[in-house]
Amino acid sequence: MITRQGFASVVDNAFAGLGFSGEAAKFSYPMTMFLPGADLSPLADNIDAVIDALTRWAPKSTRKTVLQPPRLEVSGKDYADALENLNHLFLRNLWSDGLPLLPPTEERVAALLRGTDLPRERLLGKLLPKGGFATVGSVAVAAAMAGCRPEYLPVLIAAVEAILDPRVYHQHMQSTTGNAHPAVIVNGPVARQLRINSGYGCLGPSSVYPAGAAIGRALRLLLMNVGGAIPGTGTMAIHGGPARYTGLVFAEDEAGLPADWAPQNTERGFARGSNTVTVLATSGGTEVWEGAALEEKDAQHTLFNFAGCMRVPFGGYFADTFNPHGAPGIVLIARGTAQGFARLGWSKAKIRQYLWENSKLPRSAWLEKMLDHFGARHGLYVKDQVQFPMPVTPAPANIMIVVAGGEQSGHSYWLQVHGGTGGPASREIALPGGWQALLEKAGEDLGPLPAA
Amino acid sequence: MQSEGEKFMSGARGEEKGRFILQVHNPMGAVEVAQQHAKRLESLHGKTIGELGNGSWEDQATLPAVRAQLQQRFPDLKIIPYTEFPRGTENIDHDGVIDLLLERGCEAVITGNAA
Repeated sequence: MITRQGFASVVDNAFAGLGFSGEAAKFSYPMTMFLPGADLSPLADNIDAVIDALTRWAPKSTRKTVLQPPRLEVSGKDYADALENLNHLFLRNLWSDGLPLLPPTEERVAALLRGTDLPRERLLGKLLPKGGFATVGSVAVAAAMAGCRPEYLPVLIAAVEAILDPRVYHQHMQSTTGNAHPAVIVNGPVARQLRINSGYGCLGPSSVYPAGAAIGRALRLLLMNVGGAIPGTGTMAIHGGPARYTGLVFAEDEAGLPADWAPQNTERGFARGSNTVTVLATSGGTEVWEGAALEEKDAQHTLFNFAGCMRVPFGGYFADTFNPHGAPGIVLIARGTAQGFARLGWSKAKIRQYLWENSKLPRSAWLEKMLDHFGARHGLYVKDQVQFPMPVTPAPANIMIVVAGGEQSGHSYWLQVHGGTGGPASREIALPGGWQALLEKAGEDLGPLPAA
Repeated sequence: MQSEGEKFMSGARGEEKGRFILQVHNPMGAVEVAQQHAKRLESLHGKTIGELGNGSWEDQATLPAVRAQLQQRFPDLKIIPYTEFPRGTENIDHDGVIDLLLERGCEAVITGNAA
C-alpha cells in the first residue's frame, strides 16, 4: 500500500480493525508527493521498498489469536507519587486525554462493575478503526480512569452499544478528518437520578450535574484507547474540537416538554418514561441568539434564525442528504421556548416542516461541485435527479428536536451532524439489581438531588 | 482520613522495598488477529500484479509511477492498471473486487493512496 509518512499508524489501525495484526505491508512517502504536480522521484529512489513489501515483508504475528494487553504496575514513594507516575506513563503511551486520570485499579473497576449485572467479559462489540474489544470490563476501565461512579455505568454501556450500531457508522466518526464527536441524549428517570444535566449549561461542566462529563470522558477514552482514535495517528481530525474531551452527554428536559410534545425517545419508538440513550455523531454547534416564543412573530423569528443556521452549504450534509435514516442535526431548545411554541400552535411536526422548507439550498456552482464530489465518491445518488432548492435532509421527520437548556430560554442551539455517519441510534439502558443501593450511596456522597 | 484513592486502593495497595505500587488495568482492550496477511511472492519475475486506486491524493499519478519503476526492473512483470478495475474508496471496498482481481490472474495487489 502506498501511504504517506505520518499516516502509517492509520493504515496499521485499519488493518487491525479488519482482523489482521496491527501492521501492514506499506511504503511511505512525504506528503508533498501526494499533491498535484508533485515530484515523484521519491518513488523511483525507493522502489526497493515496494519490492520488499511485495516479496520479503513478514508480519510479526503469524497465527490467529486474541492479544490481551498486559496489566501494569507503576510505583512511587507514596500513593500520590505513584499516581503522578501513572499519569506520566499514560501520557507517554498515548492513553490519556491530557487531563489527570484516576488509576484503573482492580478495586476501582470492580466497584464500578456494581453498576451492571452483565459479566465483565461480555463483548459489546469491536470499536474501529483498531477493532479493540469493547467489553463491559474495558468500558469499566475507561470509566475508572474518567472518575465515573458505578451508577453511571449503565448509561455508558448503552451509549457504547448505540455507537456500535451500524447505523451510526462509528468508524467514520472515529477516523475522519472532520471533528466528529458523539452527542448522547439521555431520556427517562435515570437522567435525574444520575444528575445528568437537562437545564442551565447542559452542554458544559457542572458540579451539580457531574455525570455527563464523566460519562462523556469515559466514552472518549474508550474510543481512543480501545478504538484506536488517537489524534494524528488513528484519527485525522484536523482540529478535534473541545467537545472531544467529554462529548456532549446531556438529558432531555422531559419535565419541561409541552403537554403534546413527545420526548425524543418516544418519537424513536420507546415507551414514554423509558430509560434510553440516543447517539448522533455531531461536529459542531451554533448558538441561535433567539429563544423567545412569546408571540407568533417571536416564534417565526427564532425559527427563521434556526433555518438560517441550517441553510449553509455545509459539506457534512452531503453524505447524509440522501440518507433516509440520517439527521442533519439536533435542534436544541429550552423549555420556555418549547412551551411558547406549543402555546402558539407550533407542534414539533410543524416546526420540522418549517425548518425543512426554509433551510433548502439554492442551486449554486459550489453546491453542484459538492454534489459531483460526493455523488461520485459515495455513489449515493444521480446528480441529475437532484431537485433545487435542495433540502438538507430527505424529510422533515429527520430533523431531531430536543428540549434542553436553561429555563430562562433566551438562546437556542443547533448541533449539526457530522456528515458521513449513518444517523442516530438509540438503546435502552439496563439497570442492575442493586440500582437503589447505588442511588442511596450517591445520595450520601453527593447530597440530595437538585430540585426538579 | 482516607483519601478517595485510598478507599479504592485498599486491596491493591502494595509496598515493596519502600515503594508504593499501583497495579492497574491496561486501557487498550484486547484485539483479535482473525486472519493472516497473504503470503509474499518469492520474486516478481513473471508475476501478475493488479492496481487498486482509491481515487484520492493523486493515485492517478503515483500508481503509474510505481508501475513504470517496477516494469523497468522486471520486464516480465505484468501489471494491470487501476483503470481496469473499480476506483474510489467505496467502490474498491467489497469482495467483488477481489473476485475481479483473481479472475484477471493477479497474484498481488498494489493499492494507494492512503494519505
